[in-house]
Amino acid sequence: MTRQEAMGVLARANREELHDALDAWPEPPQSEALRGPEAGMIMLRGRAGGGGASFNLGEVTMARATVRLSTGEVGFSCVLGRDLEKAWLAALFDALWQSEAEAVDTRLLAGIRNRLDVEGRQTAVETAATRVNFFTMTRGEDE
Amino acid sequence: MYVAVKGGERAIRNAHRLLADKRRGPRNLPDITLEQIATQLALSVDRIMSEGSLYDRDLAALAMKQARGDLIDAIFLVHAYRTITPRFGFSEPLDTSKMRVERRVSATFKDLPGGQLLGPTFDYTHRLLDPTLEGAEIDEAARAEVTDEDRPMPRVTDLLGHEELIEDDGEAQEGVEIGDLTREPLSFPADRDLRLQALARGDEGFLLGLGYSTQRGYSRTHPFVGEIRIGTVDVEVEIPELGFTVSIGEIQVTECRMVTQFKGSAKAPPQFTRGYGLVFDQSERKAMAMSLVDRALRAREFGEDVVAPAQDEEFVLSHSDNVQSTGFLEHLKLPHYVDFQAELDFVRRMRHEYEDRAAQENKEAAE
Amino acid sequence: MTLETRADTFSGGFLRPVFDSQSVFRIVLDALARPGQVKPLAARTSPPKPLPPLAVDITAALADQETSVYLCPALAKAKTPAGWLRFQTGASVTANPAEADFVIAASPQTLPPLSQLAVGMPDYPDRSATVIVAVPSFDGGLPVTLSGPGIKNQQAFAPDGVSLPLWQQLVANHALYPRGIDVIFVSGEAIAGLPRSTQIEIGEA
Repeated sequence: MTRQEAMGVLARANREELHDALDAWPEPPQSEALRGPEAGMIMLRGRAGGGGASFNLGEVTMARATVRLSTGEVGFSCVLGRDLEKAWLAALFDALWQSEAEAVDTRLLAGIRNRLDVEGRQTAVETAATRVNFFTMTRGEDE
Repeated sequence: MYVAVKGGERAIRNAHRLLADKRRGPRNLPDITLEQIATQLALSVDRIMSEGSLYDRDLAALAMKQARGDLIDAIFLVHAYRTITPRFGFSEPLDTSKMRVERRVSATFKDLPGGQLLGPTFDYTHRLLDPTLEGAEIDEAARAEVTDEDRPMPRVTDLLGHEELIEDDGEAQEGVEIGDLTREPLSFPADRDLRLQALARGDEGFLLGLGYSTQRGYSRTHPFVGEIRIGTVDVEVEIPELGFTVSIGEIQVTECRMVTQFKGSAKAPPQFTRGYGLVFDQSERKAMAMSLVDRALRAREFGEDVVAPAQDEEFVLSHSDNVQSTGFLEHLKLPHYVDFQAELDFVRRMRHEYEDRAAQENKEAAE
Repeated sequence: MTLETRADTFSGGFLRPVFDSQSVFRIVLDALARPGQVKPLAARTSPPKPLPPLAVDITAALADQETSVYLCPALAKAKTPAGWLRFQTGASVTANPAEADFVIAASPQTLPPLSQLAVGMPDYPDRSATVIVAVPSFDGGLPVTLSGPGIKNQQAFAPDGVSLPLWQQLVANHALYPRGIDVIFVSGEAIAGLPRSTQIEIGEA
């Protein structure tokens, strides 16, 4: 898993998952805030027709943070929503990931991925149940 | 002369207090929670997000509660919040071809690859009020195995693309500045980027009326629903310090590709053209109306005569924002005492002149 | 990891972003309301060299994600300033002075010709550049006499390092009013404003 992918999973964590993982972390990491956590928005872009020229669709709330561990790693987070604590914790785990990728993965990311899989699967099977199966009835006078 | 009028503070304070009391309603009923609004009145919340032009379910639910369910007032609250919140940047363009689809229908191709998925739709419901709904036990959704055919879902418009019977999306232009009507005042002619932005946050009722007008012959385009899809898409942003893009979560959108006839012109062969609708959350009616109006507004591009309101971008874009509309309309109820006095004075004077003239004419006629 | 994630990109900004930017904003407002008066302002940021700290304070207070900054060649040569400014203020650095909302110069000599900068349009005079330029000192330079809005009668002004041709460009800038650029001079622990509305007469009154 790349750092990019790990950050994507962290962005989908909920606050409790991050909290629990931090509480269970062997040595509480020492860190300082470099920027934020702060909440704001980003402008979402769409594409004309789906694949053409870009246009501004509307905004979405976002929180972000940048932290530095006492060991020097700088962690970033950008997450949808306005949860500053979540943004802070996600940045902290991004920083930790840089030196302890495996520990972050097994203690935190694996659990989040599982939950996301279950949720995605539920939507998929519910949607699949509404699939239309067309059949054509033969009509007319052919023998 | 300007005369400042004071007074009414107590009346205003008490009116606000009365509003808060009415909003709470009978105290023997439980206070409605934001979670309930966000989940059980989800489509109203979706509309607030779409027309408030801010994707945030919790804020939209709060706005709805604060506005006592008045959607336009709720949208106003969200607009106000948006204008005082810093903007950190822009997302990468949403890739709707990678949507995790929760609904997908086409009215043009029965057997399209990936199939038709109805999702949680009102279509085919009986539209009869159901008195058993209150307090009813509701069955859980049905489930079915996800087969491989669920996976690839090419966009319907690509199916005719290779025959060039339908126009393509056009190229994504690099380095072209994308218009933003939240930053620059609208000016005309407005390009398609600005038009799509205005339509995406436009009033559903206004767009519905305009879309309907095109169906009734005010700029006829003979539309077909190529495809409607609802589902979640990833939001990606670039983190400049890291030099790569990160997926920061997902949002739900509704996308509509409307296929419309085009008889061709001296320069272009006959082919199907398209209108596009993209709206936050589950807002199918609005996405469809948006795609009809988008197509109508492309009249200039196709060399069509502008003969109907839906084709007139100044008319459409200037009146599609319901916060703007409601502001100007509702200001009429605020004190206009001085204005009106001036008008009254003016009408009185005209009346005197009219009566004097009539008297003069009578006198002349009598002589 | 790119070069820009080096730790010094991340430190040296405002310690208390809200209070710091509001305090700086207040002094900038005063300076532009009283053209030519020298207003004390201690730097609150410690940007990487060669960025002038006071100029950066003002940029951090005024600029954000939606504005762009042009750095004079002397400042743009260094690699760090662009990444630092982007992280600390959100502003992007542009190489084209014509599209900059803010122009930062290490000295009057390194300013691009003022005619290259955005001066706004008759219906949007606000779409113009704000120039922040460091000078060695607020006295000892070629004297000019200022008058106009915010000045009771006349205001003497003689920032060091401003050449006659630059003053002539600034005189021409005032002639564009209501279009035109606004200038903030910074030196040591003080700033002085020269908005486009100020009339400039070269020489002592």
